Amino acid sequence: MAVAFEASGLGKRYGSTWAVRDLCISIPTGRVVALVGPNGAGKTTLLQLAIGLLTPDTGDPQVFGWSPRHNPTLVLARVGFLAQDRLLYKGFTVAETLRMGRESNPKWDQVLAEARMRRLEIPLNRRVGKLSGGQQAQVALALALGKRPELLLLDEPVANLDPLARRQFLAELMETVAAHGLTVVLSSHLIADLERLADHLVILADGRLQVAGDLEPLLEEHRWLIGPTEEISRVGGTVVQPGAGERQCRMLVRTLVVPRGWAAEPVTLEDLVLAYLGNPGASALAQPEAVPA
Amino acid sequence: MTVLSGATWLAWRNNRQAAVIGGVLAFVAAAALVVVAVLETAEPAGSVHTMSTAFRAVLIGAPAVAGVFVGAPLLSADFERGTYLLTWTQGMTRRHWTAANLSLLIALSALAAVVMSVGAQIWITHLPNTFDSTWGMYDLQAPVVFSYVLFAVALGAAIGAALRRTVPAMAATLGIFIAVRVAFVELARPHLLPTITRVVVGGTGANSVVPPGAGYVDATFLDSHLNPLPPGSPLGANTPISLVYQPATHLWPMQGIEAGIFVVLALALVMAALRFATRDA
Repeated sequence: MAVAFEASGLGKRYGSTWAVRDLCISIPTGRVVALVGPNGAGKTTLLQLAIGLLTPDTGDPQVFGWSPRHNPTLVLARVGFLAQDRLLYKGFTVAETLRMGRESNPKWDQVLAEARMRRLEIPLNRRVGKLSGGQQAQVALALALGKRPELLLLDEPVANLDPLARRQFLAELMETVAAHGLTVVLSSHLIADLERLADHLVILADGRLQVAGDLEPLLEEHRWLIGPTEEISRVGGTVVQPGAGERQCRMLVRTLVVPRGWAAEPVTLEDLVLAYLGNPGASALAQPEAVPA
Repeated sequence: MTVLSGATWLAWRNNRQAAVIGGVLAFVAAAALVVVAVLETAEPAGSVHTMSTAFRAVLIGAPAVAGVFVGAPLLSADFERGTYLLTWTQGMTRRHWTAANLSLLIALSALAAVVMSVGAQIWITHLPNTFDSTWGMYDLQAPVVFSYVLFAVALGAAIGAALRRTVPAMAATLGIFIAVRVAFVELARPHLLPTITRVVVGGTGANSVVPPGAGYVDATFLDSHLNPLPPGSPLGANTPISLVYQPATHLWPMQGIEAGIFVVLALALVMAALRFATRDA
């Protein structure tokens, strides 16, 4: 399978603190990756390492087989990046912002970018600073997409947007993904938004990889198990979120086996993410231990 | 500006305000100098002499102003606003982007510096003879004015790239430029070419005995054995004086050497700015 981004032993240090350490990761092309983790877990650092904004202290990441450090032009031409807070030049008009994209990207698609602005009714002659937050986010997205990236990195793109603007932004993103089949890595705290979008999950905790994999198998491998507390020893697999009451217990477990007499319920993405964020010691990087016939 | 393309367009778009203001000021200053030169020619020894001090201040201050307001913000602003995340993630390398900014800075500053120094030169050449139009105007001659402008903007750009904060970079640029300039004028300039030392007897003041067109450097009163007199010694009409000066023929070679030194320094600072500005943020 083709790989959009991969790294092994990737590390980045600020002073004596490792923002990302010993990270081994491989993201197949065509995935929409939800990148989650608590604040300071290394999400922004990972995204910035992927496009060469940061130089790693250990390891050398590869984007479509190219190192952002050693072949920056090859990587920059293929990767779109949307920084936190949708940074744009506030004094530029929308047209000038698009011209910036045209003047500095070899594969720039002016027709597509202008059509997008027209469709969203964002006037080209308006200054970016005068646009609403949602419109600025759309301009930033149009700038990132106009270069026709094969990999799109989005760092908290919908934080600080009102719910309507957030929905419009994500709808625009979904549409592009569907039309062009690009690989997307999107970091966000808004898990409910990711649920409809993502098909691959990466959880970072304290600079390390905690969970990585396609979402569908991950959701199948995990379940809520509900049963009598006295029979807790019969539960196999990895307990991600313990929840023992006096008589009944309800735990989120990574296992394919349901002990006899126990009830099982499927997990949602939000359940999964919260369970792992609450238990930094647990990880899901390999197959579950017990695989029944 | 449709003629510009690529990173150069973006650099222009980001700095056009400073460029236009700087360009207008340079043209106004040059035009004023030429107008005054014309008036001097029409009416020698007229009242326009009084503007001499003002022009001197403008021509000496202009490089510092350019360094502080054009050089220092050039590379620091993107870091301060965080917009380097925008430019560094377009399809061009950060090196390419920084080089485009620096090239534009140097090209436009050189243009403005040429305009100003040509204006200064026209003015100096038309000053009436009562003014010492050579050594006394040393700081206002074209080569020195031109090279100081380039040096100051390159210094500002390098400091801006190193500090990555605009206001501290402006302050540091001003301080360092003044320090370098004063130190150079005091310590290095008199010795750019070998001086001539001559002992004269019976002069009443040092300047009056320097040969016409020569540049005064130093004068020391001597005793009868030609040793320097201790300060406060009584002086007579025949006290010998040791005169140190630059001959008139040294003016243009020294201007050339000084301009060369500062142009080379400017280029080194541009390379340093390129290095500083492309480090990880």
